[in-house]
Amino acid sequence: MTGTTRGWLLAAGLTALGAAAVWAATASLNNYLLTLIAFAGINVMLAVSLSLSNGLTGLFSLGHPAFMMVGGYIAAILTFPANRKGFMLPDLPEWLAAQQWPLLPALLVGGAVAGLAAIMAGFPVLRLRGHYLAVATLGLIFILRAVVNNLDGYTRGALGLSGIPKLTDLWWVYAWVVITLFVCWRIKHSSLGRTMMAMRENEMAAACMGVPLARTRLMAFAIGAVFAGIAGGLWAHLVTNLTPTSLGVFLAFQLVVMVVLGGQGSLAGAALAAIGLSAIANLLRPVEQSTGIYGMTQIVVALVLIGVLIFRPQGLFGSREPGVLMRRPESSAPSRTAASTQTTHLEQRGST
Amino acid sequence: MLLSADGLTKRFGGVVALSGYGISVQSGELIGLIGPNGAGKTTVLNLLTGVIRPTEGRIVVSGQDITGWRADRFTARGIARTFQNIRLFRDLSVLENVTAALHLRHGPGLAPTVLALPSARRAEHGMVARGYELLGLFDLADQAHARAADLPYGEQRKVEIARALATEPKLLLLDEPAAGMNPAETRRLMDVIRQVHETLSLTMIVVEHDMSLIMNLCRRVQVINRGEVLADGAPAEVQADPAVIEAYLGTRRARAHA
Repeated sequence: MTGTTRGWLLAAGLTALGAAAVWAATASLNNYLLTLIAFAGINVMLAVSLSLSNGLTGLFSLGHPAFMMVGGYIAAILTFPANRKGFMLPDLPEWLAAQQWPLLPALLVGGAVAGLAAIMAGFPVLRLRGHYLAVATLGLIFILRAVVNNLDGYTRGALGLSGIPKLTDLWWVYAWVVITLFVCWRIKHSSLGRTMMAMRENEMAAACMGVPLARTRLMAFAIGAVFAGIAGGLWAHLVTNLTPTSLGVFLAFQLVVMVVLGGQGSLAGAALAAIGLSAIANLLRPVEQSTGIYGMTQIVVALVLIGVLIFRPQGLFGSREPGVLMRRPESSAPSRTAASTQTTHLEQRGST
Repeated sequence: MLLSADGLTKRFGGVVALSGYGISVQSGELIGLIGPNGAGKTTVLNLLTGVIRPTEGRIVVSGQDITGWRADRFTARGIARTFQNIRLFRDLSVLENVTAALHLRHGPGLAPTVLALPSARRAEHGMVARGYELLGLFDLADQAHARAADLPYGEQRKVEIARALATEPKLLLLDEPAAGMNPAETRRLMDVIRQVHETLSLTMIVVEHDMSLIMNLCRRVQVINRGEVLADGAPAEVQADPAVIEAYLGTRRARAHA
């Protein structure tokens, strides 16, 4: 009980600390820096949710940007100013063209549709393993891109949907980062999360312990996709401009790098790696411009990745979380004495 | 009748691993299944736990035909197993191995988990307490937080049995539980198996190729060879059966003395 209370206090304390940091940032930093921080926050959401669906279950999906695209376009169409929908998006049905939603419901619907898309795509795709799954989920990105290109009456196709209202600010991003971390943390440290990890460790044994493999895998995949969809919505309303190529393969690989650097299945690791990589990219940009060596960021990221794979292949934290965030395991051992008395009782029986 | 299997045949391409296998298990039995290497013992186990599907034949558990069901549905119907080549969740703790298996009957769903409802917390506390109890049966409570893969071999076998018990089975199948153990470890393990059988009045099938071990432990022994049942009965009967001596004991002894 004390362990649980400590956990909640710690979570509340960290949330408040983060909120204070966001408040300080919005009060003192310029718009450019605030936007960079918001991007880093969106990357945290993406990396953490990918760490849940990939790291816990042992899947290797690269499909996150596809689900971002689903969530991003859905949310953007819902919030788009109704008076401009008529000529920008002529194929929208009457009832949809008249809508102009606030950000929150648009994000939720975008996330939900992304989740449904993951369930639909997951049925066939999740039968694959390892590299085959990676390639198939990579295919999702290209399929989505083709769909968006061809539904140009709904999405403006290759022209891209521009003039999306800039509704995302640092507070929105921060709130969703907290929600993402909370939900993923809850799932990872729950009975359900244990069945996902069991599946990762040994599929056949997990099935024989009663874990429904397909359903569990699909659940993890869909939960990751919901957060990717919401992150896509936030992204669209931050950049105010969404094209079929804005969320692509490069982002998919960046996200995988974050998860690998943080440690497969470590949520805190994924979050820290997302912040670190975003920072590196933004710190190196001025250097790239002044020296004229464009692409330096990618080289540095690749070197960091190779270094980690050689010297610390399990990533920053392995699949665990940093010790300060965890309850002491001893505090969750209520019946140790009861168990040991039972043992001696049984031993006596056995020896007679 | 707890379980009955009829005419189970399994072909892998052209290879017949098992043909026309049958068994009927009454509640409370402790049955030994023996046979020389390659006789089809593991195939029987994989069929009876839904890991593989029979080419022909059917499996009925507590009156319900569950032929062709998935392994996790077999487990839900009360059939649990261990593995010959230990298959623990290696990177999870010993306790987590057991609590992961408790999820089947006691785990909370997605919504209570995410919303941190009191019911989810109660379920979690219950599972941890039950996990310690099960580990206690095997003297493993002190190792609860050790990484499963870090345990010695013999202990890992015990964790596997504890984990199988966590699914609350009506029938437990042990696949060569003493494989790779020295005689002292084997004797201790047999005591544990006997205890589990008696105190939990659990129906069990133990697969082994060590004849003497099975003869001591079980009151009913089934012998298979080359994918077919050779004999089924009390240890003494089976040992006296000429076909068994011919196919199994005879050749082994001859080889051992040679």
